[in-house]
Amino acid sequence: MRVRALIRMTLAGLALAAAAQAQTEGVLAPKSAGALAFAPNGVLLMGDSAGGAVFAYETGDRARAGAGKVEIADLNGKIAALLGTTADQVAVQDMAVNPLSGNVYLSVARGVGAQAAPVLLKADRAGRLTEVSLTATRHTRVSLIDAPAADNARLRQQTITDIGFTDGKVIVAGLSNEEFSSSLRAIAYPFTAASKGAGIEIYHGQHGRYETNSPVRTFLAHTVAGQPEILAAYTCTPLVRIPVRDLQPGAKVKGVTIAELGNRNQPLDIVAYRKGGQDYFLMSNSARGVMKLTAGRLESHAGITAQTEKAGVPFETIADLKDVRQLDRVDDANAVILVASADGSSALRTIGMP
Amino acid sequence: MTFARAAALVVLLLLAACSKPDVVFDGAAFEATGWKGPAPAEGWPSVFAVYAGQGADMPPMLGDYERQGSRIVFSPRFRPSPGLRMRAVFRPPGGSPIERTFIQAAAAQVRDAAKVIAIHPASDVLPENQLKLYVEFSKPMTRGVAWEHVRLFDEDGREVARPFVEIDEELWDPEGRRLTVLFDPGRIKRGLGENMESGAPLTVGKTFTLSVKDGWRDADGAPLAATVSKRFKVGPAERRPVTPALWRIETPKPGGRDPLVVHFDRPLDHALLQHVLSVRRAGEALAGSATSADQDRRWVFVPDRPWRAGDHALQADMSLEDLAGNRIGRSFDVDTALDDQPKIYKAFETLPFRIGS
Repeated sequence: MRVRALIRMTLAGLALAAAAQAQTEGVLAPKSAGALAFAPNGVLLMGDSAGGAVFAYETGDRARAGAGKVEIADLNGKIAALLGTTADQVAVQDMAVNPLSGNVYLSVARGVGAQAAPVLLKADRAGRLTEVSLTATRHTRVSLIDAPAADNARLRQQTITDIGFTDGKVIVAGLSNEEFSSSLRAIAYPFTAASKGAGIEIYHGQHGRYETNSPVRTFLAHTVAGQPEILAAYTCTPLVRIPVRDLQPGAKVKGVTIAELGNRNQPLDIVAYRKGGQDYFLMSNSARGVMKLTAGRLESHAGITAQTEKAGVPFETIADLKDVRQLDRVDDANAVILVASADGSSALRTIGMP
Repeated sequence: MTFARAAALVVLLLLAACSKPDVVFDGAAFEATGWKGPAPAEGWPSVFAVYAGQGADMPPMLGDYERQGSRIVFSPRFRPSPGLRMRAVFRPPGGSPIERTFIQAAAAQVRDAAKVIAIHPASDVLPENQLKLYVEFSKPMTRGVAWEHVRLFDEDGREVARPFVEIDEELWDPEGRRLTVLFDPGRIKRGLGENMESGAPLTVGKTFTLSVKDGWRDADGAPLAATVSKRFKVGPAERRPVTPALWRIETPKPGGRDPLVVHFDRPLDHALLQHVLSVRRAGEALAGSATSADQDRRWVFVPDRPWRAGDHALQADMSLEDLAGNRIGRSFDVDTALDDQPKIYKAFETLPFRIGS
């Protein structure tokens, strides 16, 4: 009896190990192409919301690709031409600039429904668009799904809204289509079978009094006074600082509010840069244009706690940057933006950091 | 001319026609005929390319090339979309370039356009701090245009400016048939700048209309035939935590498969209610089918097998929310000054009950 049980356990253990192995060999193709971010050495991280996973692609794109400034007019039209369809049938999901090469990567949905095909494209510094294979490019994958959905829970979906890399970890921000909760995960990279990174609950204290669950929409992973931190934007307006060391599985974390950004607005992308010896953040928004925030000595801001205080990190809106839908930095001097115009066309442009 | 000579002439003419360079398209792949010699040094795209876009600097279509003798087959990366106009350019060696225009076949006419089948919550009174809405469609919808089609109007017919969080990615279910709409939490959460400046988007005592605009195309391209609206009155904010102790469990008799009904003290979130409750016996979940009823004020469970007498438990996942996002033991926005809500660190709430005596 005992021997049989032992054999059963061993077989089960072997099966589990095999399953875990398969998970990290990257044998599955993504179901969707979403949030993008670079990890070191030209590794491109991509969120796959439909598949509930994060992929890490070894692009091999590690050398500076010249000094050209990426400029592509009628971007959607050109992507559509590449993919054998019309401009209204393609949608750029996210954009990331490889800090090593300066090449621009775009995640694209070809098609308009839930079954849209995922595509990854590269726009090089000469303005050429090529495809980066989501299956043939060497990659690893980690699943974010803790357990397969029961039949009656088949309508649940986590949408990955942002992804980043810091301190040896991949940070993933997600929004559920059912619970109003944050799902921030910190996953060790390279991915291992056990490294899903259990959900971290983020709380926001409004003026030190009301405490709510606060989904993180967008964030920037960076360093403040030598410590890795994320600068996060919630679905409600505030901008907060969260030390990466607080992002432990199962933890409940409160960020320190450093700016109130104004109503009816969603931050889309945040980048950091240094100019004239000062540190700044550049942030694109859904309804308030592009803002330049003064970051210097962030650790000196105590955080907004008083109910009447509206000050925080000082910021200015950059008047001539309008309709910016995607933003990423090339280096301290330049950024690439994706600009959408009212007629539906879009363009990729390189701008000087303001 | 003899018959034999005529036949030979016909064969020669046919052969000449076959080797004349040309490009054909069968709906899936393009075929260039009349290639002679080795593959070009710069690759097949330099001699045979298909363009879907209009304009001089459009890139050629992505795809794979295969040579079969004097034929080059170009298989596009994706099957060209219905109605797409394409221009194939083939440069055979020693000959002038050939251009052929093709138009992909149009899609079959879609008979049934999508319809809105439900808007949740079903209740026609919503709390002032209503957190989210669900719009269910009969077919998968086009994504990326939700915020142009989902709108809120006050009782004077004026549109409420940006009451929702306009998430770029949009929150859909895996099939693309159910959209989740979040009221802007910046305006609902107490103590936040927006809430203090602009107030909550809904006003107690007033009537509002949520509208899903016609013209929204489903994934097949057929537009929503008519605008669908939901009118509702606004009641006071719901700030109490969800409290299972206030629920009433209607227990069935043992031996049969009568439904177990849980009556809540308020309507709960429709989507979560479908899967966060379970009935357990000796720690195991009972198999059965569950639905919500009475505008999500009730949960009804019918077991697959007859009820057995004895101890059971209703288990509720802590992610359960009411209409305002309050959870079990925890309000949506906890007033820490009152300090009356202890932090809860368990995954489930359990309510024991007995079947039979």
